[in-house]
Amino acid sequence: MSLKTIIKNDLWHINYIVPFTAKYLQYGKLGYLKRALPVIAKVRVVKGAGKRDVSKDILELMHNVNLEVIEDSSFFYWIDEYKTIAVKGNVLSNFCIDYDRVVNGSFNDIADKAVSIGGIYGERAAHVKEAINALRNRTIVTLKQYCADHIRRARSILEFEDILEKPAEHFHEGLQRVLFFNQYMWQTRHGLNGLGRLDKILDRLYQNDIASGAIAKDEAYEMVKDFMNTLNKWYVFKSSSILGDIGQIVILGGLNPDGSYFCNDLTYMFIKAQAENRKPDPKTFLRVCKNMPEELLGVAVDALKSKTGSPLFSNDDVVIPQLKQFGMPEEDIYNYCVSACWEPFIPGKSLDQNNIKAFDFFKPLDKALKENSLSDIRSFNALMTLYEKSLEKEWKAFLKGLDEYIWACDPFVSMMTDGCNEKGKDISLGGAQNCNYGVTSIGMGSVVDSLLNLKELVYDKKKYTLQELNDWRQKDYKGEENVFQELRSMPKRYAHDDEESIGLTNRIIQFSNNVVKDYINPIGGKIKFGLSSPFYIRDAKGVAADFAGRKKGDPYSTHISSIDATYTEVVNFAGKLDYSGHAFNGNVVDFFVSPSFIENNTEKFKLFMKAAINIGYFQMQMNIMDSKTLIDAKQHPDKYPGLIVRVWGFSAYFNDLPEDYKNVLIERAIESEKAA
Amino acid sequence: MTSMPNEKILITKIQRFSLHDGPGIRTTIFLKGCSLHCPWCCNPENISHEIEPYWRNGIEGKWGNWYSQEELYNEVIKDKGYYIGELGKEDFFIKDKKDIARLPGGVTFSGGEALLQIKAYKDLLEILGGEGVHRTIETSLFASKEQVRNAIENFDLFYVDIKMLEADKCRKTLGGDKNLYIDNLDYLIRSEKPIIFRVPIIRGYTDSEENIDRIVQLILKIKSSNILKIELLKGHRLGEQKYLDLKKEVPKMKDISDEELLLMKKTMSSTGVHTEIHKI
Repeated sequence: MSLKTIIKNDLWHINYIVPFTAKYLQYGKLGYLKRALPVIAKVRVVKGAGKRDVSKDILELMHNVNLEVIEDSSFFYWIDEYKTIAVKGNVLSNFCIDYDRVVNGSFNDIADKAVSIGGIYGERAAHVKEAINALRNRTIVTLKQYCADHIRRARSILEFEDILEKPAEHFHEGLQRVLFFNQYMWQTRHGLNGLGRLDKILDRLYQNDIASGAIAKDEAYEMVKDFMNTLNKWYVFKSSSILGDIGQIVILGGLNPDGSYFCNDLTYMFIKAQAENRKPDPKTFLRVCKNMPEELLGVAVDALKSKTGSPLFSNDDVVIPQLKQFGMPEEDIYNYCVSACWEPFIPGKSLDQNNIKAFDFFKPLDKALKENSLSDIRSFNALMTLYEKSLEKEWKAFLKGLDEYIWACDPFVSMMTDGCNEKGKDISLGGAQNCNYGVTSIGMGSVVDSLLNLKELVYDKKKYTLQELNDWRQKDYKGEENVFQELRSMPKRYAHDDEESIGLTNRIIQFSNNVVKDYINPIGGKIKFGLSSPFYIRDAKGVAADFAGRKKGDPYSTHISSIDATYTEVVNFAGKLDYSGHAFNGNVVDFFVSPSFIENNTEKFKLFMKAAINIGYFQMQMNIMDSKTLIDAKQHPDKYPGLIVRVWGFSAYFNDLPEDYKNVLIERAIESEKAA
Repeated sequence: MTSMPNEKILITKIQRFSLHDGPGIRTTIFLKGCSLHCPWCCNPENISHEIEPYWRNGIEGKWGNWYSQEELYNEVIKDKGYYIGELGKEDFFIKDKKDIARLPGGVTFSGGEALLQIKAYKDLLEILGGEGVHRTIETSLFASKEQVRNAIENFDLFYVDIKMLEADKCRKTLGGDKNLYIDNLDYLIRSEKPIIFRVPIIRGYTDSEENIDRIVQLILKIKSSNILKIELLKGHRLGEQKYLDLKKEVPKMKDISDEELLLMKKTMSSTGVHTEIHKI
């Protein structure tokens, strides 16, 4: 069992401090201490009376959190970042509750159903019901005491009086409910909290208010902007491993079961509001497909020009069939959202922890070459067999490591998730309908390019032996700079529409599918994996050099990308990958596009985006940024306080990033400008 | 796909996702070999008709690779999914500049002088045309009449350069026969194929009052409805590194100001043909 797992599972009474300070590690040891110590000094753990139980702790917490009114928001939203609870196990994160249930339904009814199950499950549900009601009641008291504006006070108080008892009736009220339960999730240590399909969830309320004349469209738009600005608060507290890694993602649009496309005024409003607000979080995620309105795709491309990295595009024509073939019920798959970044997730039905760990596809090659006699590897087929044997071993050890995870008891999320009531079982113990694990991955580009270079140099041209190339690689090419440059200058083939590269990538994916297909985790779920990952810098640090221009510790390429491929090449590549089986846990094509390029060629870029959907990429995100700006920002951060970049699946202020992330982004921007 | 004759074509680059070489999203094929030697050329690697070496960071490379028509076809077709637009092949014969944006993407042949090797790739053009791929050529028209005829038969849109129209300067500076150009232009005009004129505005070469006036008079004389628009191109230094790599002297070009370019635009507009400044 890893040290990290021991801390989370067994030292839970002190591990509560970790969520508050992980993001400060990017500043180095002294920087960490400078920032973390004041936070550590202020944070208080709240404990319930009597025998320790998470639901009693939650109840006590909701009676004690400090509540204040934010003056520059028409909503009530407050997180007491210095009070928390200590919980055994991993608190569910990278997660989205089904806000539809509390916006268009009654939370108290939901809670009562859970309470009626009885036993410890029911008791915990009762405590959580009491806790959330207490939070509501204290909010009303706070509003009455502190609101200066009479009209605002009246509306907010009315909204809170009914917030748990019956479906919302108005648009602003619906947005307030999302904020209230979102606040609860952050307050109870859940991180990377997604927001779900807000255009769909709020559709009824919006349409009714517009039809009755209660609000006009421009008022609704201002509410959406206000809502997004409100969620942006507590930026540092909410950040996970790096500042900006917050995960508040609004899912918009989407294919309907009958083949039509869902979107409404709110779809457009959220996209425009996010672009206008120019903040890195919350972010938007647009589900696209062939028959979506061109106008909406055009609006999304225009939003990219705000240079905040939103929206991310998810191709329903590709994603939904994969969810179906995995065995997810038809009625659920069209409602998919994502975990914090891009991993498909069904809200209200799932525990699915989709960013549980990153698998490195390059490491098995590194290990295979270190641990075996290479003189017997006389053909490329033999090399592939060696790699696959090592890959299988690596997957099996990796999967075994996933069994260590214990999930924190979560009565609130349990009552909000199908399956838990029915089984009378907390979500952490496997109560949910879906209990799958999702894995991200790194190193696929490195291993594919390395294998193809070895094929050419060792087996086709017989220029070097495998042994000598590997010996040089293991010395990090010291004294063999010419060889390193030769390997580095060989055409990159991963993420290009090169049939051999596509074939090899699919071979590795399908081999992996075969290895993981029988894995069942301790709570009865399966595994999914994808070709994107947050950890292309962090997890590459200790990894040996490859055969394609990476030296020891250099970052891997980001998601599905190549430094020298044109946009059409990368999309063509992505369109030919096999995402079937278990390989659909997020597969993001990642681009750099210079702002002048998109400004001067907007209409053609829209054509490209439309064609790309038909080509069949899985998901796509882009950084609208040029190298000149990034280089200047690195040297003169004061000039660019608001410069936002896309990092892995989130956006962040460039100035907040660790130096190695800045360097990677600069290098990628330079290379993409050359390729363009 | 029908197999094509095996004659090879000398290419320096196949550029995918080209946005400035015609409508929509295109694949641009840069052919090696030119009939001119314009001092401001930003593609010096395309002037010589032969494969030539270059050096960058101490590493030798070469400009020029031989492609068969089939190999070129396989390259062009990779991005066929992006060659989208409102108009189908039956409507490629446009007469209004507004319809340029409605044309689909496709393939553009450029260079160098794309006409010089057309005999070697005309079968490819026919096949692409049959498949509905829009075909554009960027040409100076300094080629033989037969080459122009092949182009008229197989291209859907012509970008035609107008450079120096004083015969002596055309010969001495560019190495071109102005009369040949005028004859070819006349032949092209009579075909009624859609044409976009490209006028490079280069200080000390094409920007003189006399040359601009000759261009205006030429266009006024043509009076053809198939001239869709005029694009004015400012000289640029994007090709400078290529001169250094080829160990050739970098041309010293003086800049034209944006104000001067706007004046040129006004002058060209007096022809009655829509004129715009082409941004790179």
